[in-house]
Amino acid sequence: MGNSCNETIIVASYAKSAKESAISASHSACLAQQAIGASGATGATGVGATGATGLTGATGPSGGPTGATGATGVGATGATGLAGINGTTGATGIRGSTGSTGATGQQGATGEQGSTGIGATGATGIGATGPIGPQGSTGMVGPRGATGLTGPSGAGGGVGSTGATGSQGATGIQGSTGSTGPSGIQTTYATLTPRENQPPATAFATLDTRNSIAVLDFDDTTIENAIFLDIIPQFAILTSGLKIRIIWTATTATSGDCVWQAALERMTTDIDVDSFDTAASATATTNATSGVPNYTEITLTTIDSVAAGNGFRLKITRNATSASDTMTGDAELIAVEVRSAA
Amino acid sequence: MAYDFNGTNQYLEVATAVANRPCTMAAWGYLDTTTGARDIVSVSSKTTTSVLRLNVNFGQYRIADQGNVNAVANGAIVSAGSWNHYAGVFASGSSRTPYTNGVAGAQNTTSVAAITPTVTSIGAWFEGTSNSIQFFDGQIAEIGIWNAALTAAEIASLAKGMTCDKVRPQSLVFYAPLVRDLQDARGGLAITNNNGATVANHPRVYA
Repeated sequence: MGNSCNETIIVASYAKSAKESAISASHSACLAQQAIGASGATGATGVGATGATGLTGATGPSGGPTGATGATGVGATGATGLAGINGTTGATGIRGSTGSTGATGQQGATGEQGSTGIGATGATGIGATGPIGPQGSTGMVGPRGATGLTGPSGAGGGVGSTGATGSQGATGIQGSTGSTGPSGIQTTYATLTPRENQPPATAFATLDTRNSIAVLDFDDTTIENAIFLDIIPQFAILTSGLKIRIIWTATTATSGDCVWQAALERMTTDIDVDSFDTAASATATTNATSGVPNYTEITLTTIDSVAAGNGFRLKITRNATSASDTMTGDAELIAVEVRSAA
Repeated sequence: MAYDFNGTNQYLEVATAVANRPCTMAAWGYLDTTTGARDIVSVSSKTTTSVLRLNVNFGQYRIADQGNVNAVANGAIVSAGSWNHYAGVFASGSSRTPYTNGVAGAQNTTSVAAITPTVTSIGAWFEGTSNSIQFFDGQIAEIGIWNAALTAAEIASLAKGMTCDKVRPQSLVFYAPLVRDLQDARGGLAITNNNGATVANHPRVYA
């Protein structure tokens, strides 16, 4: 008994209100020992802090007759209990809302512009501790979007504009002396064949064939002639005269010289009268094979003042009576070319 | 080049008569001699006396149409040693005219019967037998035969040296230039060289 009271005193020493409650309770309990101990009043429920547990009422004696129901004890109100222990940590707050969409990914690599990267969803925010966790912080910026697909190749660039003319180079070293060039552009003014011969009335070269090639036979003892008519081309340059090239061969001879002459007549005077200018001549040795053509060139500077566009007659003669004409047998004229001498 | 005949047995032959009346025959001839009767060109027969021919008889150029009678037209007197152009126009059985160097002789109008020549010869003719006669002595070239009667102007052109293919070529049926080669430049007929006529200088022509 005594211990229980002592305990009440001890407990009451913690707080005045509690002490007063405890004294009251102890007093009540003592009253209860004298009757039927009433149960200790229930400590008031801590609000917020749990209040101190009220003292347990003393157990009534057993074995006695059931006493009359004691009067309801009126326990003094217990001292306010000690502040309740802190509540347990609140439940984890509700998961924060989804973070906002991450920032737009960086632009794709060069090429055509890559598609816009989509930022990854931010990490879930962690709600702060609390009864209701605060809204999670905005998720972190998502990782950079993947590089966009390489765009198709761009169209080829246009041709660049012509560069500016380079500056003049330095003067080159003087080249070595070139080889002797041709004597000028050789232009053919007319080609004449035996079929175009307009033979003079007398002393004419006679028509013949050799292997079905028309030729004109020039005798080896009698001077004979062939005459061709043509027109000097409009573009002709005659300041240096004309070159007459005779293509011929020997009927049988394989050696000896043939003397050829060429004379020109401008067709601006009476055609009833021959008026050939002074003839020029050339002596040529025949080929060692009688059928091989020889090419004999005569430069004719006395051209009867023939001009471009003038008709002309060209007389080809074998001067068979010349001492220089040593070839035996006929000479066969195959063709004649009239060309520039400039 | 012309062909040179010895006056004894040489001649050229084509085994068909290339023309009959009306026709024209022409050639260049160079006589080595005026003695004898010398035929230049003819169409004749080895079985009948049918013949049209150009002939020089002792220097007298003449043409003959021998049907049932021998109708002759005289041209000019020619000399040996130079080229002359001979032509004869046989317009019909009653009209024939000789030309010497482009100059017409007297036309003969004797009427003669139709003829049936079968052979063409140069430098001779066949008087109804297989033996040719009156061989030419000298050179012949540029033989042309037309199946039409050429005009005097056309004959004159030939006499100036134009070759036969330049004068009324549409009527030309036979053309033997005789420039070395023995060929008919118009009809392609074969020409036989009998007894070795030889190549000689050609007359003056505009080829």
